[in-house]
Amino acid sequence: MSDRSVPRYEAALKVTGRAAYEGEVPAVGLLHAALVEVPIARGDVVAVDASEAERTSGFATMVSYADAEPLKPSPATALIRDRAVHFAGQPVALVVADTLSAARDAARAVRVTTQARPSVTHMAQALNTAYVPAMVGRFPSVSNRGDATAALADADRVVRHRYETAANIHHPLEPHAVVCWWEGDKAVVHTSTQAVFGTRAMIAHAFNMPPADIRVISRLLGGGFGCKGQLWWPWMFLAMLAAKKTGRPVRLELTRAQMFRLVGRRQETVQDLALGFSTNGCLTGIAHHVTAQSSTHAEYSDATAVYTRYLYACPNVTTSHLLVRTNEPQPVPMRAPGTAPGLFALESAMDEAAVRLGFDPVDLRVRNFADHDQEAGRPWSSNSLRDCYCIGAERFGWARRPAQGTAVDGRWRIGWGMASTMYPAIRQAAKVRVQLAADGAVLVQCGTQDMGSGTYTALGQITADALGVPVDRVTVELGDTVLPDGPFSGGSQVTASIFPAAAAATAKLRATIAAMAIADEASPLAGQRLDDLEFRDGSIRSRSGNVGEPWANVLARKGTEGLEAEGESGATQHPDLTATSMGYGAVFVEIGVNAGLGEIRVRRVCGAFAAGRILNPLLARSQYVGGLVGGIGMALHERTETDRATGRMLGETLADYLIPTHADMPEFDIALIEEDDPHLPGSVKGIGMLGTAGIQAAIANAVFHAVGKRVRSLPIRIEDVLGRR
Amino acid sequence: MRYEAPESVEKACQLLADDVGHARILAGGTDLLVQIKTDVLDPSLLIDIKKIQELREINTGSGGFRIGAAVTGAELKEHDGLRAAWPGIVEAANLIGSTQVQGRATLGGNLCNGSPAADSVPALIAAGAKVVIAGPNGRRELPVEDIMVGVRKLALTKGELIVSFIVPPRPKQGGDAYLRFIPRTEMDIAVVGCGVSLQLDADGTCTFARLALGAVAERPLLVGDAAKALIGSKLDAKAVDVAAAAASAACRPIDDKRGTKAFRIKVAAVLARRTIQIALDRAHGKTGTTH
Amino acid sequence: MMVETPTTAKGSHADAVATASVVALAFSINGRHCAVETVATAMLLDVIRDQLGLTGTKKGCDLGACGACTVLADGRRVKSCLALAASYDGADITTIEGIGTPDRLHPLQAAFIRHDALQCGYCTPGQILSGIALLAEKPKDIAAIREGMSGNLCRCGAYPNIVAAIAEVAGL
Repeated sequence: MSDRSVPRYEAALKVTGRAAYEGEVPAVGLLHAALVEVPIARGDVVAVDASEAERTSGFATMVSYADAEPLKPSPATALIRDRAVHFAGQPVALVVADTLSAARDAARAVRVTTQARPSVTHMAQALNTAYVPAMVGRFPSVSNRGDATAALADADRVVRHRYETAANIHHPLEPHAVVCWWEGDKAVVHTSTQAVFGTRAMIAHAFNMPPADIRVISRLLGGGFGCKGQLWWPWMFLAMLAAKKTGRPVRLELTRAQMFRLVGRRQETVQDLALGFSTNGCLTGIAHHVTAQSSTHAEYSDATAVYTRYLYACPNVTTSHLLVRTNEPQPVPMRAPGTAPGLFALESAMDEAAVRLGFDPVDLRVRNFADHDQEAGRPWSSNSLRDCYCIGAERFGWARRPAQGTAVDGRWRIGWGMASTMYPAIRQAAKVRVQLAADGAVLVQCGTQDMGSGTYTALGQITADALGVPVDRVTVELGDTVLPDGPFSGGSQVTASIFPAAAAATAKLRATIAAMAIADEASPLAGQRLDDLEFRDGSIRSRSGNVGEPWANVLARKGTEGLEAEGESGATQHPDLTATSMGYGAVFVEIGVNAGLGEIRVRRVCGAFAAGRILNPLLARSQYVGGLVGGIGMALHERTETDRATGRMLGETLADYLIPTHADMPEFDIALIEEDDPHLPGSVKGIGMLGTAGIQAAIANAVFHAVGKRVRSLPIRIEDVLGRR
Repeated sequence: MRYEAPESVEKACQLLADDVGHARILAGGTDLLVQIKTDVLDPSLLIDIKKIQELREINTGSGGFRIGAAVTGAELKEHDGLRAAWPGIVEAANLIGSTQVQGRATLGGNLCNGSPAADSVPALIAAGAKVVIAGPNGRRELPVEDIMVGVRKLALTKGELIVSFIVPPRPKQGGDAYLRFIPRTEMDIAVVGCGVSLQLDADGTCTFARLALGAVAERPLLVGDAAKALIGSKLDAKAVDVAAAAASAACRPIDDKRGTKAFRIKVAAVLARRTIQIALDRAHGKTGTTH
Repeated sequence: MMVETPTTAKGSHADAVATASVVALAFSINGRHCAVETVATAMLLDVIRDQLGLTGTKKGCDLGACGACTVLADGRRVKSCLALAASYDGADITTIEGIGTPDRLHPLQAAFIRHDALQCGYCTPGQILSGIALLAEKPKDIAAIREGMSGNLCRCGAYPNIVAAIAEVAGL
């Protein structure tokens, strides 16, 4: 195992149950909260009557739109300030009581009077209202390169199909929670959020108070996957209002059922995709048009078709995104947003094309490799996608792929499939502070948070490497707005963002210590050249002269209590880029389809990923495997459906919404293909999203290879496999 | 809500009979507590039967078994005699939820929950098991297939409680099996379940057969036509085909998100065929597994 | 159409709450005797987390589907969110706090760290308790570990590393 594979920083706390998550923070006089929900899918709240609830034992108070009215209007406060009901199960009030069961009983006793209005509970009911949002994330909704319509009309071969993906729910195992209290005019908010600074900014805006008076803490998250962000804020604000009203700390924790509705979902998509080819297998035209769901109270679109602009060389590409507003829960980014559903369509269609054109699926992709970013017209900063195909195929044994429909293993019909994956590598602004104690101990601090992806470990390693000390000398502090500003945890950006800031801070410290040593007559390094010094094994040494001493000695002789430095780095400036940065991968799968029953099992997976330099191979593999497992869930199991009559979710438990279990696991083989990227600090790209995308199409392609049946909607239903060809 | 943990069957029946609200029996609680927590049920009284010794025991005598209603799937698995005689029943009970749930979930609870998809019920029906019911007027027995009359509807009257299951001795040259189909590998509710019990004579002719299906109707079904097709045959391909077709024909399933009607009907035949094969292997003394 | 709705199908239960019976329980938790008074409807998980302050046992779904709340009761693993506390009077309960400490890790805890068998860590205590109970059952192969652990969900997808950690301790 690589010496970079150091164990997870906080692992000992997590395996012993000592890791404290924010909803578990103790507070004297704590009140427990429960949300009051309405059953209608659309309409208005006429009255919320707590008179009966007030008589229940342990009741403390209720807050509703009347209490939220003083908050400043914003998307984050609209749901709790307005009386409009946008979806079934929307909370309209929050009750606090001495115990959780008392709060839930009191919430049940609240009488809500509503005026229902006709609702739209599925995209299909309102396709005539579809509209083009201005942007999908940071990309324009619509793109046109060349003339795709003409190219498709002239193409020798055209593959044109509709692909569909279901609404998925993030379901981190830790439900959203907040423990909050007020100290005079100041607020202390312990909450499971992927963005402590974003949360602080929205509290400051909503409550009209200076950010400095708010402390938001999120030291450990029990997963996030995109849902521990803005949609949590309104409900968190209700808890803060209740804490203010009662003068006591309040805890609100969502129930698993509420997590189906209140904090986001991966949006449902319908995608029309056409690929045009010349007979020699070169793409001549692509049209990818997406229709997706958004709610009636907010707008969000995944960048679903955006990656179709980049992945392959093609002179004529058109893409677009449409949104349909429904009275269903609001979508937000979820693990590999955009790429997971979009690459399902693109990479399924590429497989259909390979069959049609008589190409091996890998060869067809290599043939259409984009040697530069054709959309922006600039080079890649690095792109090892062809290595991913090559190494992945080699490790998987792709060359021995049996003919379609011929491989069997007992009752199982065996199929192999593959697909590409990609995700942009970008950075957010970040600050990192490093403190050195006179005894050689190192403290590194950043206000970003660790969702479970390994930020503690990565920042500790980066700092230890730069200062030439073992990782166990470094203490890492994250997840608190009293720490230096750090990025939100999302988009596979955190490690790449904090790397240059930590590098800057540690460079300053090295320079200071080196200068101190050179100027110190008592140091063996006195008079050495600055650029000849290096930091290694806890010491500062001369590279040429074989002299050196522990850097703590340098500090000790100066009688200093320690040193401190802060490093800062900026966000990716997209318009100024001279090269486009993405991470890439190729995923190969073997599946079995049980003849007669149609049951699908993934048997083995090989993922080859190229995403810059890997800081910690142990944790990187965990990230990739975790992403692939999420992708298997999306491919085979995960779907939440709305009851069209009532607008309620059908089945709001983890017994209804199936995610993969231990028993569903295939064998995984992960190839880490490291890249030098001169355009990126430390050659660091994000890795988290890569595993989650691509595998859906690889599985669908393998199902075709096994049984000759194309399934173009996710999750793949057994009925789809057993049905007519 | 009140909680009582009586130590005798009579006391439990008394509590049931006296309750003016809606009392519920708590065995493992793995279904009941979910229903209470999700506001499906709001019992006035919970009667915990796990302190009643008679309900916790497996007794063997005269070759058969008397299994207390509060015996868990995990306890069944640990009973060597039962595992050897009726592996299908034991395997079915150990498909109820996860290992943690198997440590809690009971045979009586699985039946009384009243779900058509209950895993242990088709296996018990196939085995020809009977249920001992205690009530204000003493005890009576009913075949397992007569207990559930519809979704969440039981043939029990006020004050009645299931005490135990009587499972006959394993027939000589007999074998049983249970298979179910779920989309995920583990931890899911059956889309179709199938229990089979067979007996062969010396020359391999089937002298006795029972086949039961779960999750294909409003209650588990005993499929008499399937048994008819098998009895008297040598369990040749033709007889098995007829039995499998009978299994499909007996289905009156619903469409839901776990499976469509057409799919359930098709799968019932496939499962029937595979379950018969395992039961046959066991009747021949071969050890088979359900996977 | 103007409708007044109780917020759930169950409606108001002010009276029922007032008369909910209280039970006095005594059990051993991680080798320590403890006595608590709780409402008859309380689940073992809520008693452990809220009354005893042992928050290492997690509440993931509260309906017995995820396994984050797994504890050992008289040596058997149970989902404490679906275990009525009143039924555990006199029981011997072990939670993650009773397994090992950062300085004195249980062999399975150490294996979890070596194999990176955790990411966010929220399912980890349940995985470890379930794994310890499974080790006592002597799983014969990897498939038996996967099946025996299937009551413990992990959303980060650490499954293969969890199985590797258990297999190592099992000597497989």
